[in-house]
Amino acid sequence: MSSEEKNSDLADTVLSAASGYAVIVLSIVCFVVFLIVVAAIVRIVVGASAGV
Amino acid sequence: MWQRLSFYDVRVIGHYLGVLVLVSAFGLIAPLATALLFGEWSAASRYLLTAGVFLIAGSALRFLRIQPGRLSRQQALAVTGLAWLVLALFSAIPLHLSGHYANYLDALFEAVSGLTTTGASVVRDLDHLAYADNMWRFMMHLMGGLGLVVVGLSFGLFGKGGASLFSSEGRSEHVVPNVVQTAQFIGKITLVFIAIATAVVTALCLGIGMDPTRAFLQSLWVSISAFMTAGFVPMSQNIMYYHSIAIETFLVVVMLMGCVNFTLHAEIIRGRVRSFFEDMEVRAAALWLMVIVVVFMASLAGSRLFSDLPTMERRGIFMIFAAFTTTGFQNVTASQLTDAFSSGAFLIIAILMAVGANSGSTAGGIKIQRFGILVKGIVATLKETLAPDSARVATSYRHIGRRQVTLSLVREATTVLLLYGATYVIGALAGIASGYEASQAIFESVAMASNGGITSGIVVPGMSWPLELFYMFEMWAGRLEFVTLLALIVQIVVSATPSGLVGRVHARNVERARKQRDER
Repeated sequence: MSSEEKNSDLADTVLSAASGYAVIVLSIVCFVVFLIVVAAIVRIVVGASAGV
Repeated sequence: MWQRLSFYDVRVIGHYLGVLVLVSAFGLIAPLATALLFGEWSAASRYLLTAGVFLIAGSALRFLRIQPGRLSRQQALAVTGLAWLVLALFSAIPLHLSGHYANYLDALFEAVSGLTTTGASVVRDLDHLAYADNMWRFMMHLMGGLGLVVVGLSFGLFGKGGASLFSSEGRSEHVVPNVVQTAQFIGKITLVFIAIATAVVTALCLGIGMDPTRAFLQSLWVSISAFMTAGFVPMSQNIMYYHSIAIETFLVVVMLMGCVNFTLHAEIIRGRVRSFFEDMEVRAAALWLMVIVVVFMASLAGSRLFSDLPTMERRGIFMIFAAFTTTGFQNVTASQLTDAFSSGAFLIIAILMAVGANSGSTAGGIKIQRFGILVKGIVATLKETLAPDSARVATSYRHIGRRQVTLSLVREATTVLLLYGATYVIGALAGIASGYEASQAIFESVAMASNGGITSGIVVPGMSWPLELFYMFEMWAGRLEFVTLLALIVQIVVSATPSGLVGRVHARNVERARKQRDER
């Protein structure tokens, strides 16, 4: 394999990894935000019923 | 029948142990360079001395000449089990000489905690610890999180012995078929993530007004700790020191990336992102976290303390992720954990550590995959019960494609689950016997055996030595997921008592087998 082909392969791998991880990190952030919202709802419901 | 170690086995084990000790000596370059860079001459001399100990001990063990060949599973288990003990003994030397530890046992505790990525610390006056000593603490996290064998394999040092060693360190999955390339892949992924995390945290630290040198060093250390799901921190106030919600949020993401199975990292890099979302363990973890957040927040919301929404969100969510990933960072103090948190929330943190995160990652605990396999095993049993006699029942789960739930998988999951459970209970009993509250003793025992490292206040400098020893054993056993350690203990006992009970049983079995053969 020539050095040009190797460089092109490496660029493809880096691009594919970057886009893959972008999706994963975005999903994780969305999941954390979702949990924060769930926690807020729980606080409102339980806090009100417990009189806190 | 139990197999005894022959003298040749001992030589092979010693030889490979020497290789591991020599490889680990490379780790000392970082603290030594740090000491020289910042003019910490006392620390530099300590690390030079320790490097000498590593090199002499490693070379002496390497002199045990062996025939080139494949390392047997029995030998590999012994090498791995002993390596973690021997390296901890040596790694504690510079820490003990720093004067920041009450005694050598405390320094050893720190070394075991560092190498096993538990993150519980017994250092005194952490805020004034030399940069070099801090660097060594985090290098231990890096080496231990990767796995000592993985580090050695990355350098291609074990030859044909590699495959057996790799699986004896609690790693059963190969990212690529070749074990050396798998080790190198794990190393590369780790270094890339730590580099990116360090850059981001450094920027955030500069943003809150820290000076550049401290910002960079602390970011590097905290990033290592977060990705390795370890738990050491450079400041005594733990993550609270930074007073930054941005740093806490970013560290949550790094911790979660650290507890992703390395085979899934490989899939993501190959562009197969679907594998991540379809994975049984990832889905089970998301479900588990949702349930836990609801119960945890309900428990806190019903109590008078820590029940205002911003505090609950910030402290609660961070602590949930720190416990789930078994990292052990804290943004509440030990006394807040026991007094300000509700008892339910306190217990949930312990349960999260006990269960742990994903297999094949740097996280500790029992691992979600094992629970998933056990649930699938129950489903298989129900299916078999309800199916016609002639039907053949098969149950599968998704992990890089579809895999069958086999009897051996269920047996392995059950064995490890029971061993973890037993260790949690025995550790809790040891804590109770030492005079601590039952809930605190249970919490601390779970934190040690799961390598979670969140402390409720039992682990302190100069703690009682029997409990300290037991906690060290728990950390060691938890990191190696018990089987390697138990196998090592059995091997030593069987080999050391030729005329004892085991020897007599062995001799009787041999005699019986001989008689049966003669009769035939």
